[in-house]
Amino acid sequence: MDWIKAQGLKIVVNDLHELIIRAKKGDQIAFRQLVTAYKGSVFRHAFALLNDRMEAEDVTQEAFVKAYYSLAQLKNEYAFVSWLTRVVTNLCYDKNKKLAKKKAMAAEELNENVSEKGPSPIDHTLMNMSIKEALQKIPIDHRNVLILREIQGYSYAEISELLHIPLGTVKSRISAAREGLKKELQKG
Amino acid sequence: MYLDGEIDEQEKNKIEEHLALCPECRQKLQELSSMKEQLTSAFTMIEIPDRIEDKVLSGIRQAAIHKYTWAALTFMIGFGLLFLLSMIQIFTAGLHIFQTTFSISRGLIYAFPSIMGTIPNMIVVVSIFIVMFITMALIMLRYLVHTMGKKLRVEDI
Repeated sequence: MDWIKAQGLKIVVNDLHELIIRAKKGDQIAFRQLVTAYKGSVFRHAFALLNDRMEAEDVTQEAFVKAYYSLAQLKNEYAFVSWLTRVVTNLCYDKNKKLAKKKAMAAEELNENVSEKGPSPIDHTLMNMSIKEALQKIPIDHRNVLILREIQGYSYAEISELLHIPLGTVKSRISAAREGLKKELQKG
Repeated sequence: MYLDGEIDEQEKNKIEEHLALCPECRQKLQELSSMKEQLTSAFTMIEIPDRIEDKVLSGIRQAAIHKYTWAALTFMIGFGLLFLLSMIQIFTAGLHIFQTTFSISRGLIYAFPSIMGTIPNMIVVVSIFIVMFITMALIMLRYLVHTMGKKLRVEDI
């Protein structure tokens, strides 16, 4: 048997498979145990993509609710994790679009009030960016593959399969993401 | 790829040979490696919110209520439209019957004088018939009364 660490618990792969089968039949207790097993991974992924705890929590909840209602359509129980990761990715992409629109509108309003002289010296201290903030500056497609590699621990081949993109694209996006992140950190 | 261990042994050896000779590449590798570590530690140490399980199950219940509400609403609208349609059909049929009856009655009313006009002395003939009918009725009534009276006299004796 293979052992997987999930949320500090050692859960047997066969037990997870059993949980998924039971959850597919509508067993809410089994589904609750699945949520416990994967909530950390899902939240971490969402938070890394959005850098907002509230939004990440919403995505986590929405992802599991979607998973519950779509579980019956899952043909291979062993594909549950990659399938769930895809759901989280899509939800985060949608959220990101909405947040980008809100920010653009807020920025437009702010530009009307900002002095033409530019930011004050105090603002420079705030510009020292953390890695989380720098990550938000790179395109979401690049950010996602970097997160899946560095935080979620997927291999290049697994990322390629998960996101339905060629292996070459995965490599180029990770490379571009790292370069972009380095530049953002150097700016700060 | 070298940083992620996603290369084969041959390529790895080539890169390591180059790194041994190139301080610039060594520096770049060091920077990327440091960034990789920062990224991993920044997100693996984050606190996972409590009670996500409860929120998820609550979300599942809300979604179920939402689904059933929409289903019930769709059913009611469908039933309502069907009822309205059948009422319109009944109303239309009833209206058609009324219109037909009215047309027939109106036709008869308009036709009566014409019929009367086509037959010569029709009014005279009809009047004679009415008089004859009334006369016959009176005769029969008198006979009836007379018959009933004779019966009484015999019973009295």
